[in-house]
Amino acid sequence: MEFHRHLDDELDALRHRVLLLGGETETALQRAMFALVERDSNTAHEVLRGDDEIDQLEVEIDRLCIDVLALRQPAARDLRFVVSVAKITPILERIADHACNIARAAIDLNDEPQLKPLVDLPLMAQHASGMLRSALDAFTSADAAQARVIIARDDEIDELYDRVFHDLLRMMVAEPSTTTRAARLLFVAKHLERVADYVTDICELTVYMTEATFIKHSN
Amino acid sequence: MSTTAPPTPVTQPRNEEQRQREQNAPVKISVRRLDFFYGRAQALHNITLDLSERIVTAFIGPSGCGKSTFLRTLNRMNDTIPGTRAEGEILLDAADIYAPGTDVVALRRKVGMVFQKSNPFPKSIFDNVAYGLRINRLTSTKAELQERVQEALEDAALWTEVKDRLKSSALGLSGGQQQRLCIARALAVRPDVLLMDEPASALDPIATQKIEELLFKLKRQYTIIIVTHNMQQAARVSDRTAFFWLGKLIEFNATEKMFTNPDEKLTEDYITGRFG
Repeated sequence: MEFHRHLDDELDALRHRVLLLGGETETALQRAMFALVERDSNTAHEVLRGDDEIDQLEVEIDRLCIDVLALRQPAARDLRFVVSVAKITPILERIADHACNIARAAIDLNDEPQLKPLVDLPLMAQHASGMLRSALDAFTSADAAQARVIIARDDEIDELYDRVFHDLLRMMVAEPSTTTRAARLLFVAKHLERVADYVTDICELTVYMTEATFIKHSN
Repeated sequence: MSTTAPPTPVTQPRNEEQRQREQNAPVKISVRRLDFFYGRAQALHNITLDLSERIVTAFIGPSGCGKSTFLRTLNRMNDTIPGTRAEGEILLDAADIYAPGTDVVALRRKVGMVFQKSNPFPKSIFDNVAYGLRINRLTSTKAELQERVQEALEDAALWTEVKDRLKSSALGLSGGQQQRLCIARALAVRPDVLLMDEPASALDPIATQKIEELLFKLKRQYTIIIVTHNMQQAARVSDRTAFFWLGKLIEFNATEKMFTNPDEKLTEDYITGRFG
């Protein structure tokens, strides 16, 4: 049973790496938002510097997935797990890219007077970040029911995005000098909205991994 | 301006069409409540399944699980072992092959078999393939015999390799070629069903690949049932897979379902290597 002990070890290593990547991504997102809300450009720069590590982790997980597929030829639940990991990894990396974009927006905005106290954007970020954490928990515990609950929460983010969008639009119309700053904040909102979409993708993969059911594009 | 019609959207991927075809394939062999005994030892328990026409079905399971025994019940090869007994029904084209008065030779002509170890006769390549045709008097002229031998060798993807040395001894062929010769010998009598008991287990990867490619080609014409210990091979070549354990049929499903999401925990444990 030596072979299978090795396979289990490798699957555990993959699981561990994905959780690490997920944790780093979640932290990057939280720190980027902290940089924006607290007007702390140093933290924003740290987020940007930390992205290389996330990229390296993505490459490492890709390699591990390819090794397991090529050398162990997993089947059934093992195969679904490896395929899900291979698909979740780039999603996490893209979420980290969105965190970097938010950090860049923070650096630009911090050089200018604050447009307004931020309320809905931190709320969006809190929701998105919470969804990501729950999605990673659901993935780790192979909890399809929990994954489905998280997917439903995407609507809350969409509603918040609409609210932020209209608020900022009204501000731009009423006071055209705010347009650049308002547009930057609008992009931040869009990034958060995309993060929630990506979390939905992770949850769909968790359902696939657990139940072998494709719920993507099934409305 | 071109009047060419816009391309029609592909609504169904090709493999979906194939899946439909496989799902709707008529039943070739129907097994009902089959028990099989070696003396007092029961080797198969209450096996019921339908084997469909012109698809590849793989039997998998650990050693001693009964998959080869079951394969050999399908053309009554077990009859050659003293003290064996089958109970239940095996219907080939709706006729019970264990019914009294069944012509077992005719049955084995209809249900050919290829074994794990290639077993060419110590004769020429030509005579090996012609053997079944001659003893069964299936051809009336020399030209017809030659035509049928060539056809069988072509079907077994061996013709181009041996056409210039048909009179040479079959024992001079490589292991992979010998196995394809045995397939040609089985095909020469134009069976409906081809039973293969680990046909590639003694071959190197290239010879194995040739046999597997051959199966893809042959399934257009023949109903193929293959026993294999190599699960990747079962996944590669078969359309449906049956998993046996301790003489029982645990699961019989579409191969892609078996290897991605089997219904039974025992199957999952076996194919993920966590058995026992």
